[in-house]
Amino acid sequence: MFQPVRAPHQDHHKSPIMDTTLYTAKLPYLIYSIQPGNGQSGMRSSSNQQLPVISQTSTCSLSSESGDPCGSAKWAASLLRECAKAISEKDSTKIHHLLWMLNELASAYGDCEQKLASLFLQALFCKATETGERCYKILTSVTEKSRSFESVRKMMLKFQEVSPWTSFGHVASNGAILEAFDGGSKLHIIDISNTFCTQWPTLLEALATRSDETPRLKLTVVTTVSMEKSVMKEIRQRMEKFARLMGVPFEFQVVSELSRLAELTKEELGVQEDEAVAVNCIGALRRINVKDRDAVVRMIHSLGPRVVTVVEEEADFTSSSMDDQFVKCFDECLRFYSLFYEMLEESFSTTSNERLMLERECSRSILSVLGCDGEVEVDVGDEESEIRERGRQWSQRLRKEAFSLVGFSDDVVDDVKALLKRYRAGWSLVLAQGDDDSAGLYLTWKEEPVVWVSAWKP
Amino acid sequence: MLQSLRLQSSINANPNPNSTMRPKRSDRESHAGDSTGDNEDNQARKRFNFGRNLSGEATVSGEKSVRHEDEAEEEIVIGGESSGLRLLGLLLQCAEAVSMDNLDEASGLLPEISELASPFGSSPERVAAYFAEALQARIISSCLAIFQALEAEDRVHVIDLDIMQGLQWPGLFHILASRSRKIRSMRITGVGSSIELLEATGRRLSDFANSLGLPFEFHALEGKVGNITDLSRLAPRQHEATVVHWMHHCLYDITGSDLGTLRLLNLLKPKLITIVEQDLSHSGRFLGRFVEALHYYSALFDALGDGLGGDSVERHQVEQQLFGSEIRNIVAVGGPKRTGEVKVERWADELRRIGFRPVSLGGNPAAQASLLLGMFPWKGYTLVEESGCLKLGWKDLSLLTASAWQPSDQSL
Repeated sequence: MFQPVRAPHQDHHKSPIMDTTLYTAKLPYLIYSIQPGNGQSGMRSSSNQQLPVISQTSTCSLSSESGDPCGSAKWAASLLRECAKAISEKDSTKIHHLLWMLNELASAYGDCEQKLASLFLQALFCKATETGERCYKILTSVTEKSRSFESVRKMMLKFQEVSPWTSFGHVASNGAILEAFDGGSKLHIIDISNTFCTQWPTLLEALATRSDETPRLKLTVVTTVSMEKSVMKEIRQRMEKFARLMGVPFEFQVVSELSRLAELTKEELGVQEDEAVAVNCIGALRRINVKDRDAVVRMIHSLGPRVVTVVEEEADFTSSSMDDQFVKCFDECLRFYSLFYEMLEESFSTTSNERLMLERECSRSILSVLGCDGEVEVDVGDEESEIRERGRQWSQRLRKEAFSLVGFSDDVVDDVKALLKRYRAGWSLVLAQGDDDSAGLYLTWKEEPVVWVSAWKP
Repeated sequence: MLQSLRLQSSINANPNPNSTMRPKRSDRESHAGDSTGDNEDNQARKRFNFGRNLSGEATVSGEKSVRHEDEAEEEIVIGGESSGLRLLGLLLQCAEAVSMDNLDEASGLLPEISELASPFGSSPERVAAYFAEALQARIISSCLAIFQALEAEDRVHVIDLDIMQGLQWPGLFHILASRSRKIRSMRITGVGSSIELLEATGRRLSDFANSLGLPFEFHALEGKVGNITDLSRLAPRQHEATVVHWMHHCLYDITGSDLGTLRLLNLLKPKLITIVEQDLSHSGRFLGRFVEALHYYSALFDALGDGLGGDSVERHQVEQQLFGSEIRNIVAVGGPKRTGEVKVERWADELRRIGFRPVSLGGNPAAQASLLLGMFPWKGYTLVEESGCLKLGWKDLSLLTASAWQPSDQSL
């Protein structure tokens, strides 16, 4: 029987944005009724198995009325959930049956449903055949080889142009950093993120136009994604050039030969006593192995920063490493990536190569979370987790390591609101409210929180 | 505070000429007249740039990068013969691996092909995208079939009626080696015409199995299996599952006496017989058909590309919904049955006669798949169950004729 997906946190009364069960009412679903399989002459039916027979009944047609590009028959989600359930129950006949069906119907280049099917098929197949790690390693090496500075930059710029998914975090973080730096003359930003420095030109511009003396800025980029050296070289050249143009005294350094983020020190990062330090973590914390996350937060604390900005996608994949939690984790992945894909579909043009690149990245992420029993060690020491946590969970970690929240000023909130106005309808901003664990700002799409940003100080 | 935020200019890391915010030290004069940069940038885009630059020139240098770029809706335009050729070369390599049932190698090649391909790119990229997808589907279904058959087994005896180089088996070794439940014994009896070839194949397979830590035995059987009189070596051991792998080559006779083969199958009562029906058109084999199809669709996509624009949504839809499906059907399974019809029916009767009955590939997909297909009439798929085989069709073309057989008295 079909079960509505429940979010891990059931605190409906505390804050409306935390109740993610709201979304299920909006989407029509096929209702499965389980009937005994029909025997056909010449074909032996497995008498003990109850295979799903699909009848089409839609519960609510809200989506089709609002022009949902993904159509009203959400067959992919249903099939995928059944398959995940079969995998957790180790029902091999059913697993193979469903994988076979998904294989027939999936297409990475089709409509939303076909794409979702294709997206998860790979992960489920690898999970069922225990070939996840091998597959992930191949995919990673292929991606590394084929990603160039040009292609990645194009993808990011296009994404920022059509969707505030990434620029939301940039604007809020920059705002918080600039306010924390106010008055300082020697600034050091430690950038632990996956944004290829697309965030910083705006900040440089703002520093250049400050009414007082232009401060010096040192930017230390800690790369969390493996990539060819040529990419960082390009980025360095561009940043130095731009800083020169802006008239901001600028220094750029890269820390890339990393074993574990937790082992970084002040010295290694080149933090000096007279510097005002900001640590910027965008999509970075989730790349750390779950067991090391507290240690990294502690390390950041030891740098004595004026502000730490954290941006993460709002999803909880932490149940991935627990055997009996596979379905729970799967449901959450399905929820999140369905949203993401829908958003991509509505934001990009149909024939966009940039969207294709983003979709392929999702494929790797999901393979890592679902197909590889949690975390993969690509190379010894390299951290490549994709296990996301929600804002509330990150907040708990930060508070535990003696960080306290820095609220975003009205100015920054206004800036973010202005940003959102540039995009298509559907995007909005919600402030976390209420208790101790809530913090920061949420970007919502169709009223679902999708990206979380917050600022902290020791 | 950041009221003057201008998204585009800041993200581009370039000073926006329209900005009211002037940089402190304006360098505009130095690059205002730099119009040649435009062409070079376009050229850079057109270069085949996947982390390596074939022309050996530097890509967009730091100098040019600072100009304000007039980026309209761009596609990744890949110029030059070399990239298209490389892509097609990889595709053929992959197809060849699939045709030899070398699923391991094939699935290693696919990610690279997929990464380079795109349904929104140049002709070779678009063709490659759909072919790669079809190959992927085929690999997955082949893997599923094998996996399913061997899931519960600890001891396996595979009798390959025409082993040749045995390239189809390393893939299985991989799967068995990576299972959490270790296999206790795995033996392959390879049948072929030359004892030297067989022994060479056996050595190679043994080496590979050893490298994976698989307990493995190889036995060579020279001659044609239908003519074998002494069956003791093929007899199953205790608790051992026998699988007979039979790739039909109708161009030449591999099994010898049909009656003999049947008698053998009867005696062996293998747990599973996998029969793969290859296309027997004039080109003869999967690879030939694959190349043919590649040529045809390349030409077609080229023609479409000329007529409609690069970012034409209609073209994309036609390619994806119509040709994508067609390509998949050609690649994903056996292909049009022209001469095979009679043969399969004959074998079905014979197998039944000696006590085998058909097993569908995944439980009872016919009813369910039928209903599922009923939801998508536009796809043009048909599903027919005939003589114990599942026949998936695309319009009038029969594509998949897969059959698997097990002894009638065996309960699952």
